[in-house]
Amino acid sequence: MNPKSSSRFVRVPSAAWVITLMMIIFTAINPRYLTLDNLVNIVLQNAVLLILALGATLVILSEGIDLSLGSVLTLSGVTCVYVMKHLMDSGASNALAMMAGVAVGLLTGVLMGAITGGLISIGKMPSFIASLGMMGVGGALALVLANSTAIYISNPIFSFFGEKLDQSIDLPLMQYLSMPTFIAIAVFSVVWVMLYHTPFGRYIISIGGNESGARLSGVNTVYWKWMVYLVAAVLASISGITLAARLEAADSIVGVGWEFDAIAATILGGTSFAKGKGSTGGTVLGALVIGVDRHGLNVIGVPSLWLGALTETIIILAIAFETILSRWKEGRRWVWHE
Amino acid sequence: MDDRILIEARGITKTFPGVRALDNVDLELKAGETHILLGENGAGKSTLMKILSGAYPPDAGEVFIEGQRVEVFDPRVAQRMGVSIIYQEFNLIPYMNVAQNIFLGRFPMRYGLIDHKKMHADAATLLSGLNMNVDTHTLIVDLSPAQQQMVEIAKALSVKSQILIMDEPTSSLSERETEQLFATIHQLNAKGIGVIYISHRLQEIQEVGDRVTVLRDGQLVGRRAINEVTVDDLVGMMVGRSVREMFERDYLPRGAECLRVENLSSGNRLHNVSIALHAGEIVGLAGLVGSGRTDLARAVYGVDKYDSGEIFLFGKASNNLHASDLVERGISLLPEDRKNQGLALILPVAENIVVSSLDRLFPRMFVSKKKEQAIAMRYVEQLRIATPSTSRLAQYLSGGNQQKVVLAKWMCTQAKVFIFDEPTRGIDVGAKAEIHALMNQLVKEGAAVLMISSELPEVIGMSDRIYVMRQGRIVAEIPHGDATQERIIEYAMGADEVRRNSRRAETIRGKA
Amino acid sequence: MGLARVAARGFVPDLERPWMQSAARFIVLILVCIVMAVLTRSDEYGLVFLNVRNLLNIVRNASILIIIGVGETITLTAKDVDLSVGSVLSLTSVVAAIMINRHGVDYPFAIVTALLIGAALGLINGLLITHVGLPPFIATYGTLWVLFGFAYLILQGAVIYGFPAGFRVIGNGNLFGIPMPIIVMAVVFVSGYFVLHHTTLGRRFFATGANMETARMSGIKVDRIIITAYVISGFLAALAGLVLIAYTNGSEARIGDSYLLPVMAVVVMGGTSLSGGQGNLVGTLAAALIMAVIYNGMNILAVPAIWQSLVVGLLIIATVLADQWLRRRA
Repeated sequence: MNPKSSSRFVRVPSAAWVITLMMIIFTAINPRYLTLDNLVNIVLQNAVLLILALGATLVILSEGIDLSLGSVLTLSGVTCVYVMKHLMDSGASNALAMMAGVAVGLLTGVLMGAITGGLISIGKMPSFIASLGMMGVGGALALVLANSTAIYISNPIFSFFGEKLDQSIDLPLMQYLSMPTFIAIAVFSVVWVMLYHTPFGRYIISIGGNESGARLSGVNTVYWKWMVYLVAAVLASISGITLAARLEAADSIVGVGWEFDAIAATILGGTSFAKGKGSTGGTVLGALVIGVDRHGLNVIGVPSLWLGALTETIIILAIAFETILSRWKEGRRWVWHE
Repeated sequence: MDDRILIEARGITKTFPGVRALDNVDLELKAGETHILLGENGAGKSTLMKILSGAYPPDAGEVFIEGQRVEVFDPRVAQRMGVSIIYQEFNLIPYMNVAQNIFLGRFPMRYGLIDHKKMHADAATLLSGLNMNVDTHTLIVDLSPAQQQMVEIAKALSVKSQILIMDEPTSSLSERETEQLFATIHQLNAKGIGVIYISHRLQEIQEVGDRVTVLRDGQLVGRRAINEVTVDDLVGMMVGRSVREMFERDYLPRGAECLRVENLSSGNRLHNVSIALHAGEIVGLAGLVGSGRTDLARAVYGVDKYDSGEIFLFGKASNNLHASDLVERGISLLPEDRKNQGLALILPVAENIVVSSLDRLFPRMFVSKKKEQAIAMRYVEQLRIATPSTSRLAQYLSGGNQQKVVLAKWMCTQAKVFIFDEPTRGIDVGAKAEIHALMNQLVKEGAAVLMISSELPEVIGMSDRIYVMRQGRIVAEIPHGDATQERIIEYAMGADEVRRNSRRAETIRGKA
Repeated sequence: MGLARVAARGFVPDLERPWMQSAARFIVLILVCIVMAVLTRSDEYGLVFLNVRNLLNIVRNASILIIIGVGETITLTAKDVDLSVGSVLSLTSVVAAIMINRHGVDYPFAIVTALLIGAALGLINGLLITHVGLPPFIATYGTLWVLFGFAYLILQGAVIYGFPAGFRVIGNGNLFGIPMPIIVMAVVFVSGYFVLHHTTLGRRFFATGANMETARMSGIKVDRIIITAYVISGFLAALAGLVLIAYTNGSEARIGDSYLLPVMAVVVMGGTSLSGGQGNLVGTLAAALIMAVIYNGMNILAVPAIWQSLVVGLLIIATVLADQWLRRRA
């Protein structure tokens, strides 16, 4: 049973075409681009961004924006590793330290999200400025805790969650999977269920689509709006912890700018900024665009100096393209009254 | 229709700043009845409706729902007591499907998750009960307004409402869709559900109503059974026999042609409209809400695009020009929504007044506040705008004075053609007279005025000629000597059509 | 956060008494100065804070922020935020630095080029907003990252050091004993104030920001106005960058990054509304000075830089919250 509906307004996001186009161009420039190994790497590296982007998608569906997600990612990684390291240095077992660290990391997300959501939903602050402020606060806290550098950690159990699977297991496809990918798949499934099969998901869409209408229909918009930011922040902390597992370190500035990638992925996936339109599947595609973009430019041998500029330019162009496309299509929409 | 009273309102009075919207009004709805609420724009229909649905409480009077007195006026409480209201702008969520909209907030659950199967099944049952066969998976944006309306009705049914209030339900429907709606309403009546139906389309009222309550200027004029009343009676009740206000007009010989529109068509909203406007005259544009008057004004003024037709301004072709170019040519539009389209509320009066004449007043780009305020003060005095100073923010002025500011803005541009869209709506009587005097003064000085208005005394009292529009067409041009309210309403509502079709109406009601 | 409460007192938009709003902020400024003077009093040096050189330092540091702040205030008046100012500053100053330092270009030419690039970047922002239809914070946040990438590309992580004396006058020089950055800031501020409050263009900015639909129906070409606002913002960001590198005698790719949050804080604290149509330049000036005083105080007290951005973030939140609270009471 497909709970989503097909509609002439829901179309394959332009992201699909963009990815195809990019891959064609990349392969043309460097035929060694199109290997399975590379594709797997893209997916692996993308897992963390996808989790973050899913959080951004939820917020944007409710017609809000959360610029602090990148900072939450960073801060969560830092608090997690910080606590882990402390505990391990004081003799705790790896497993115990890891569990404590992860718990603290998640708690960080809960706290940040609760505050951001509270400012926006109860304090009625514009989401943009509230999240901008929290971004500064979160980023600063991360720097403070990690002393402006990275905290390295050597905890095999923890690192397990960030790696590719054991190469020695002799099952087909095993060497192409990794824990972060699993985590991303798991998170995606949970978010998907939440969005399409729980009232929470419907409330998010209704708040984004017609907040006053939702309120008049009895939805507690203040509470659910607050929850969206909380959930998004928890997702951000999951991605931050996963990233720390993969890097085996928590970097105090690693997440800077990731919220933009998350938002870009959401937009490229077809989620628009008004009316609660969008999908999580689209975000997966959108995240892939970013992943292919970043990874591909690297692989085909673009000098690292050019990487930043080119990647971002491509992203902006893709966003512009998607926006123009969707505005053009929406010109034919039914209007409420007229 | 049985005699059980579903909802009863007694002695409802409601006053807003500057205007008494309702004065001691009664209303009664019986089970299985469709009760029409009839009245002109501003008669108080929507205020009464909002009170009944719990949007706000009355200042005086009581409401009883199935005998129980209403203590708290809140939309959710009203819903629980069985009242559902369907506004003209629907309260649906665009990118959710039909079933989800119907059951928003009350989703059937299974093992902690939404039970989609049951939800869609229940929704489908509701819809088929309304003779609507739309896939419940369809998104609201993909539905036509008529279908969206059906979803709203289904939603009301799903909360077991006994009382349905519908606000101008047929304004965006085609004739066939209207017929279907009426059939649905008859079905609802048969189940004992009462419908309060707000409208001013006379031809429909006969087909769907059992009784009618007529309001005028916030007061109850009368309550009748539909089959005991004629079209003429209704029209008479709506407009009243006395024209209370005196209008000052100096009728002048017709001057040069200022504006001419030929065969203007635009999509569904305007069909082959042709009008002409001359210096020294005020031309009224009457018609029901939705008849295309504002669309015409916006097309002429360059805000909306149109498909075909020609516009001549002072003899020169001015087709498909943008507003900013047209302003230079001397045409102006005072919009209906003066707060959101005519004024910048958070800016001071002085800035609002000069905003369209900046280049003319300050040729070297330098703006001296002193000069700005002096110019503004001139208009404040000339138009007698009640404001302590020209730096007062526009949002703090009363409706009448806000309108004067908008007028000042355009007078400042030395425009020669003024299009007024509902110039005195929401303005108290004293200010109304002042605005009328100003309009008179304008045309005395050689301007031309096109006045869109739903207040018939105003239209008749002020116009040299009156065009009547209905459903996007000009259906009549009445010189001021021949203009009566009844005549205008007949053309606006198609009463002549009503008489022709009254036999058909009888047949349909007989089926119910 | 008594500071924020006090700062927010003059928040209710009431152009009838603009002097009261500004006065409130200057009172806050004086209060903050007093607080700082007391906090930084040391037994050895007495009232360190009130040293003339220190005060001049404060104003000079505030200058960069004010120059950018004027641009930001203008875009907020006409439409919405410009988040790319930090990156525009970085990129244009990097370009200028390379031209002067590595390629021996005459610095006047480099200055003009940098300013033109800044304006062009503003144009791109404006076009993304008006013609592509991106929400301003997406458009300018996007350009922020694109420009950051290009700045990095051009400079390749290196730091440029050393400019000819003639160029450095902009940052180092004195006019009648007043440091050049302050002079430039004063010129920019006065011009900005003049344009915003005493020209037809300024009136159009206000009208467009206050109500775009009304502005359009009143005959204003809103697209053009919005683009102009962003062009000015880009131009001023470039100007600020030039002053900055002239003063520090060096340039690196991320030089402008640390200005985004403070600029937003400053305009918001200064009373400019985020919803358009209510630009308050004097407020921005006062808020920038307050911010500079706070930074200066934190430096004297040796508060680590990291905590400083925390303070800024909290300030933004506190002042906007206070603003909302006050609006609801009004």
